[in-house]
Amino acid sequence: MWALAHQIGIGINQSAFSAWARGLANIYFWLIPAMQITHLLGMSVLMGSAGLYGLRLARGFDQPGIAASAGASLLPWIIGAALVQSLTGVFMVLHRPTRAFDSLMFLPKLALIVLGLSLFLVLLYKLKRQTSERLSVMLRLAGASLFSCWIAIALAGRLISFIRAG
Amino acid sequence: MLQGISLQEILTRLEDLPISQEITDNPIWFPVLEAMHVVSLGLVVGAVLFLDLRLMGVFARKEPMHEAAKVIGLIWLAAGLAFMSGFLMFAPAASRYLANTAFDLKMGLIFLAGLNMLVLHLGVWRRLADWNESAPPFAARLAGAVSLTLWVLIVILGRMVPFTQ
Ligand code: HEM
Repeated sequence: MWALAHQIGIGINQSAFSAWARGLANIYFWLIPAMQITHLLGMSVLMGSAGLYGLRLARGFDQPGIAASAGASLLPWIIGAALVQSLTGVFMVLHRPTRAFDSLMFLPKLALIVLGLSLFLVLLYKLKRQTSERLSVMLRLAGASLFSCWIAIALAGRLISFIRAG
Repeated sequence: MLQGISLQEILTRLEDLPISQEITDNPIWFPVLEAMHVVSLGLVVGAVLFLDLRLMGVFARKEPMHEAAKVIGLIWLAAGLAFMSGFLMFAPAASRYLANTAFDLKMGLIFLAGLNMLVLHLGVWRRLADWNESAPPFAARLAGAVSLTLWVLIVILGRMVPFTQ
């Protein structure tokens, strides 16, 4: 599997998109630091949302409606941050594809992102329909999982450049 | 007691601490500490951001302020971890970091962010009952805007450290 990931990295590296990203980063020296900073800020928005929402769910709600209204306020931020993360993330991968694809952390991070975003959406949908005052154990566990999942994503993201395959 | 001890001596003592030696000698520590730092700063900045927006009256306006403020526990916990991991990365190379402009500015802004929090806490926060469920007063909105700006700058400067002299 890691050999295949390595080949994908090489393939992207030879593509016109990757050459375009490298060319741009060569002209504008500040582009990659700016992408990294934007990526960190976007990550903070997603982690803050997971902390606010996930931990509140895990604690259980004592007022009906709070869960749904908290989720509705966060939704545009989650969507916006996910878009920003995708754009900056794709650019950074195009800039140095093998750095990502040769890391043991990159593919697990992508899988966790799919899980983390799905958990957000499922929970927002479920809580919109919540009528009882108390949250079920399942929902509370899902809230705790949401929080843990985003912590794992940040950890995996930071470790991409340190933990290499092979 | 500190009389007669120069800043350089303090930095050298920090660098010579057994824990600093261990962090320098064992290459596993820097990535572990940096990962811890990134996770905890992400939580601090993210949670503070939403609290600041609520203080500014532009986020989750229907939610009582005392509900929104429940996130402060998480902020303290994450800030504790960010400070600890940051300090452990700093100590082994204290002189090099202190000579780095981005690092110094970042520390200065963290201090200002703390001061801003203290002013908010000792000021308008004491009258929270008056505005818990209504529009925040000007002082609260100002504190929120200042805090938001400072934390964004702190992240920018933190990331600039390896690119700066
Ligand atoms: C909650 C407050 C803090 C925030 C928001 C923050 C923010 C940051 C950011 C964004 C980075 C770059 C991370 C990366 O992408 O790799 C960083 C790195 C770092 N921070 Fe902090 N930081 C905080 C507290 C501290 C403290 C208190 C110290 C030291 C006493 C510290 C020392 C460091 C060091 C040594 C680095 C590594 C710089 C390098 O790359 O060599 N930080 N910080």
